[in-house]
Amino acid sequence: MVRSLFLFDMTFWLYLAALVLYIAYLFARRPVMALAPAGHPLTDNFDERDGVWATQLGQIATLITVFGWIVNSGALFTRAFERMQTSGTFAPWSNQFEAMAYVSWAIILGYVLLELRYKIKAIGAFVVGIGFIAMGAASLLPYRYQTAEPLVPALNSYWIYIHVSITLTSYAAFAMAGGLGVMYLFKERAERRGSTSRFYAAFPDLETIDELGYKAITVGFPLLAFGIILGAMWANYAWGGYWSSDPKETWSLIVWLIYGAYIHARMTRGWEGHRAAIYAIFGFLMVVFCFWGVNFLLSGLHAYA
Amino acid sequence: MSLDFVKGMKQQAEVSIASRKEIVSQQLAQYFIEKGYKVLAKNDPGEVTIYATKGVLGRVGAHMAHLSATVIIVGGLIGTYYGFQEFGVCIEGQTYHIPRGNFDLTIDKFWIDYHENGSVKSYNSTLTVVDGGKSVVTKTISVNDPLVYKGIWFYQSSYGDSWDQVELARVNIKEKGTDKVVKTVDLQWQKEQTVPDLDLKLSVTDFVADFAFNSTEKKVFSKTVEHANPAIRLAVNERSTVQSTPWIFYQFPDLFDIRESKYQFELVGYKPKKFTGLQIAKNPGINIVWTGSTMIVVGITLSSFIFHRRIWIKIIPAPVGVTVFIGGTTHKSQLDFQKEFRKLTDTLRTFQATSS
Repeated sequence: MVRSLFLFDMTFWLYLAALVLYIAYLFARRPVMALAPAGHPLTDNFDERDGVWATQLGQIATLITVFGWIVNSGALFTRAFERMQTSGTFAPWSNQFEAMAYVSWAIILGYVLLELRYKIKAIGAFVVGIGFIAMGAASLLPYRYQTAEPLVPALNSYWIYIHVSITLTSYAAFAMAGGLGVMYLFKERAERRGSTSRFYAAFPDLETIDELGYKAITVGFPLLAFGIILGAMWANYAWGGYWSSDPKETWSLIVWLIYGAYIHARMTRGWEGHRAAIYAIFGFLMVVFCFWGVNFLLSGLHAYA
Repeated sequence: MSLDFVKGMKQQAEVSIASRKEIVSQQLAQYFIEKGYKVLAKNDPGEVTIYATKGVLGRVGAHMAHLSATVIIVGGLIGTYYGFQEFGVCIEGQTYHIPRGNFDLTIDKFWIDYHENGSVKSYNSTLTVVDGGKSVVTKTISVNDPLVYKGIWFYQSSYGDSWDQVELARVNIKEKGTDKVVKTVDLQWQKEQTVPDLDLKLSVTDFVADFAFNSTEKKVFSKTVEHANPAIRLAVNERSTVQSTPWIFYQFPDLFDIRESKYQFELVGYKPKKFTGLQIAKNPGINIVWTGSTMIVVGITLSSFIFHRRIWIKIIPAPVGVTVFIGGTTHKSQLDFQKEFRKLTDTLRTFQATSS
């Protein structure tokens, strides 16, 4: 137990360090104007180039993030082995604390993949931030929530591996979309004010942020559908009915419908940019309620933590 | 399809190539086919028109996802109208008739497994289906592991202390004269036990967890399922002359007195029989619901990750070489499409280099 908790703790500090570095990276980037020598036109992709300082900061931030993610994986693995000793299953997402740690793991993984593919580091300040908050919120849980207590009989099933992990992964995708939504609004405000701050200059353009946020939702949406359906199958196997209308089920469905409406609004009504960003943030808040609020405020079949 | 249509696309480009329209169109078609596009081309005297499309499954997926809602609702309705869900409180050793399936179910055994720290690990019931007088299936069910027979599912749903049976009752036998406990006996449910040195025969015939008396029917019953006021009915046979069946209360030890008896009986403890709570359900619509569920997941996945791309091209001979007008559209993933489109126009420019 101690071993995994130590690693979870380390993950928390590493994510914090990564977040600070990403923010520092944003500030270290030079504003476009300062680098334009008199009489020389700006090159096309000028604002996508970093100064030496910024480049190094960005590289260190990425390294720390990847390292934190590896430690996070190690923590989850260690926890899985600890679980194997205390209870039959070893899914390292069997209580609220482990679930949060898994969500931050998935968010960071998603971010690292995104950075690898699109090479935009500025997003780190927002998305790694949300991963860090998830990990931090987990660490704030009381100790008795953090330990690997044996599972109640209803959870003791192979369904826990797949239903829980898939649902949590969808939450991670929605969290990324929420972070990108916040980023969009920041950038948009800066553009409206005509800000030339170096901070905002590092952000990718609005269209890219918007599109990436939408992509995150298109990953999360089918995953949540699959997760809910796996939950229904599990319920049908364990409780004798595929839908029990317990608060978690109801809220998951609401969240799913919210994102379904988002996708439809985007497809058919052209909801992009500002409205889509606000909607993504709203959807993410609903996810937070579904994930946290339901467990702590409403009782039901999912109140295991 | 006119030239304006191509120029009006969200993604559009214009490339001049020093080549002939037939060659360019062939090269383009080759390129598209390599990229997995379906290509339609028309060679008119004045121009070549090419239409290339990919990822139509993305659209099919969207339709599938929408259709699945109807399928799930149909399955749900069938389940509601032709299925049932009941809860049975069953006691070990008993046989119950299941009218909906017209067979009997025997509870052979019920037990609870514990973790090392004392929390419940699992609870299990061994069930035997008796159909037409013969034992057909025997299975041990537990949470997450039901028994299915003739489309009826038996789930281990809960367990609890029975309110009308005990496994054991511990009774103190007190001598009235000295008010001393002379013996403590553990009585098994409805089994007569002799106490030879006291010349006693005792048995527990009834139990209620929360004693209540119906005065019109003259019947004792348990008011609730809680063990609020437990009592046993003790059949006493003393020296073969005194016979009595008093109710003995756990909380009120000296309420009843058998006048002719030398002894006073006190209920000091008991071990209630556990009941096993079985959820009994049949849902003929369930497979339709699962079909709909599969459709929704496959449909959404297809429509999320495959996007329908359409590209129109017009190759028109110019005074020198040809001019290629190219326009494309997609309903989502604009970023990726933009990249792909840029690659396409870049490739188009290399045609010029090799052919000139």
